[in-house]
Amino acid sequence: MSSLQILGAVELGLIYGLVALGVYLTFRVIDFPDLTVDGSFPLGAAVLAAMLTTGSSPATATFCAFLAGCVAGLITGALHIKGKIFGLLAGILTMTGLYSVNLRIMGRPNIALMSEPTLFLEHINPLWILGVITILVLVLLICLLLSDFGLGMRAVGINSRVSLAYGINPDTMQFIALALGNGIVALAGALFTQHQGFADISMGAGTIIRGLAAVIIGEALIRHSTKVPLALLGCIGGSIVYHIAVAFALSGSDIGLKASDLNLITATLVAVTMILPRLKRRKGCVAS
Amino acid sequence: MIKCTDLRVTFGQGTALENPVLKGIDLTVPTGEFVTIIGSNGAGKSTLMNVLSGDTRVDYGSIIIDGEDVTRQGTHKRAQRVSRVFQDPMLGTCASLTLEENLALALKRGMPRGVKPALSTKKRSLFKALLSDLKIGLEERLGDPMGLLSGGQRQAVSLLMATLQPSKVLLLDEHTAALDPKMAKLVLALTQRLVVEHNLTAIMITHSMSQALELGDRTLLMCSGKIIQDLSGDKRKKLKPQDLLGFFEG
Repeated sequence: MSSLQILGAVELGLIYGLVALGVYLTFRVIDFPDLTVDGSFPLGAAVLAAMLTTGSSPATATFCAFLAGCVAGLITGALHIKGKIFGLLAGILTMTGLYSVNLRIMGRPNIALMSEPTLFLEHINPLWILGVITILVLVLLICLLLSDFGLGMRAVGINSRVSLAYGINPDTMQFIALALGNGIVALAGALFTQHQGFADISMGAGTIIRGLAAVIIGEALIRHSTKVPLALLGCIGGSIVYHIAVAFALSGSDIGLKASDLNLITATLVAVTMILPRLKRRKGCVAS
Repeated sequence: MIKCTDLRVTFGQGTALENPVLKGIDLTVPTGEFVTIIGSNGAGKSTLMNVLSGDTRVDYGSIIIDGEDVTRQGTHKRAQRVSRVFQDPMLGTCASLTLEENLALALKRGMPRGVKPALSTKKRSLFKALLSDLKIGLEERLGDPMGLLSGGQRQAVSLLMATLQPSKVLLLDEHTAALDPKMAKLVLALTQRLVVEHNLTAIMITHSMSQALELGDRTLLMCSGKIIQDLSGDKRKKLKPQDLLGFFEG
């Protein structure tokens, strides 16, 4: 594997590290299995591509992509909290609807960015730009989750009865976490599009599984510490490790894997990492 | 002061399983009074607690706490006035948050939660001082996840959490039922101390007849959704635990 491939994997790892942060907010912080991300990732891409091709500045377009993701999260929240729809289904409904919305926004199934300016300026290494953005989001999220407000949000996911008794409205917290999580995922979609130079309607498939894989690998890296800064750093680390591993697997032509096998490998990886600890525990019980 | 008027709750209204749980409860508790409630299973004690905390809405009647009608207020709104310790020590705290995080969470009960760091040196030293008052060695374990503490330790912390912010009403739902006798004694002593210290209006459910009479100033007996005896003053002092049984049989 060439150093160029590793570099590419790290860059992708940083972009999907943001996805992992978004997934962590919903799956782990408020304990909500949110599948909206498969729709909000391409939503961010679509908004960005549509805005860049009509002459908006890359910063404005990226920010609008983030906001669009927030709205997607709010819709899932409204379906679940106000409409009382089962959480998983609420996410799937939004994701399904977003497919049509994304097509409307883009006007066609894919947009290639040719000469439009992007956040990736020509004379700066894209790795630095991605690094700065990722660290910025990471630091802001850490500060948020360690604040009184964030502590309340975490309490909602751990024990909603206690959080109610201490004056926290779980509904509000779920809305905010869903909005923020999907906003960050859409931001990742917007960065991905600028990095790769295109937006495609089908680019969202498997986003949730990749994000989850990064979260799970990250948790293994930090040995399941519950400390917030470490847990969030683990998401990014997990994503980078995951993408390097994938690049490694795909570059070895002798293994015979194709890029299209990625989703199967990832799904298997997530399933195995979720089953293994349970098997270990069971074995431990028998031994003792 | 708590003033409840004709509280009625029916579970499964309009179905074949319709079950009236509270059948008109009238109760006035003056500020600073410590009331114990005793009654058989299904008497409606826990429902009364849930109604006071806001977890269960009444079908009829009103609840006024310190002059404000809270009947239609949700639990999180009422949290400003009402604090609560749950029966199950595992449910009353956040297991995967640390001890200090749990306390910081409780410190903001009923207050707006901003984006300032939840923990500070100042708060830590406050928590440390409060925990060393408990004399069970918890002051050295501020950074431990709550889940690592024993049931009794968690219940003691729950009590501390519930009284960290001034509240009007403290609800105690059999909060010593799951503890061993030694720990139960410690938690009860702590309960008494905190209630007096903060001049709280407290309502405690218990299954122990002796506890019901020894603690607090007033004892209520509940049976099938009604208060059947309201004992206080001399009449209560003269009673022995076994006398209470008579009320239920009669």
